[in-house]
Amino acid sequence: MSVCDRMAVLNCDRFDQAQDCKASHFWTNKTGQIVKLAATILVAVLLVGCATSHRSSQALTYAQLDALRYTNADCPKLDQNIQFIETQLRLKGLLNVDPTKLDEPDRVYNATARILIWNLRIGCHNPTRFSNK
Amino acid sequence: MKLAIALTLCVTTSVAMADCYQRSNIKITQQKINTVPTDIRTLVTPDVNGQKCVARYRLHIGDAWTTVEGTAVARTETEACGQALDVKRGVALGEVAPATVGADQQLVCSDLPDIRVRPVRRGELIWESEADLHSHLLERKQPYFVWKQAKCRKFIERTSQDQNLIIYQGVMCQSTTAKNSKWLVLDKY
Repeated sequence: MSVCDRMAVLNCDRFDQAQDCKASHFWTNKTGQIVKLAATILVAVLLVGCATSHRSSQALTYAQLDALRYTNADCPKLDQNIQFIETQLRLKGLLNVDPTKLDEPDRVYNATARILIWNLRIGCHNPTRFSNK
Repeated sequence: MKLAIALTLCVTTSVAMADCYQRSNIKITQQKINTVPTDIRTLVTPDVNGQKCVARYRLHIGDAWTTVEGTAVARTETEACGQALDVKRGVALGEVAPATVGADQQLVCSDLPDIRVRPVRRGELIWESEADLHSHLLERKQPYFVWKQAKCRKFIERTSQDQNLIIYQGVMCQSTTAKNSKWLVLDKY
């Protein structure tokens, strides 16, 4: 039993204070619920925020992305490779975007990632065509 | 009387909307051709010798898409249109303002919607020659590739924004296996 609950019970011992006590107990419970709810929301927001921030920081930089090279040897893991690049786009918020509405750095990142994806798709289905950009 | 007025208005509107070209005497075979005829539209009419086919199509010549017209007469429609699509018979149609056509030049006008290179969007169904060929050397050598059993190619789109030249690239695939079907823009980046 919490301190607040114990206080509410003690206050209820006296009959003449019953009505006030009930109200007080009601508000004590209500306040507790609100506090719990607020705490839960706060924790959830913090967790989502932390998760997003953590994941964003894991997206490859443009330099790292631009350094990626794929060859025919990567074709057996085609789906995983494409998924990896798509994850980078998702982390950057670029998975389903209109390129004409992007600023220069995002446009370059988006184009570089999609060139890699299409090079993999085209190269693995048309082996004589594999190229790097 | 009302019908006559309505018909006159329709004719006037269609004439005003028609796109006109100057038929050149440029032999197509003397140019560097990068593609086979695409976006073909034909007009077949009866002729004393069988069927006359006028084929209008697009060819990527040099560095640009050009509208070409070929004409042939044969016993059947298939034969006539087959011959009309022979690029050796084709003449380039140059876009002109009607005022610039001289007395000795031929002006060809048509109500068919004009096909020209334009900005495209992902998911859009377009004529092949509405998107430019990719400029990469490999793409020029082998413009087409197969993706999920569809004939596809990369394209390039040049545009300017804030006094800056922006070049987009993309991938498009033929929407059906029919020879002259339109193309679906799969991706643009």
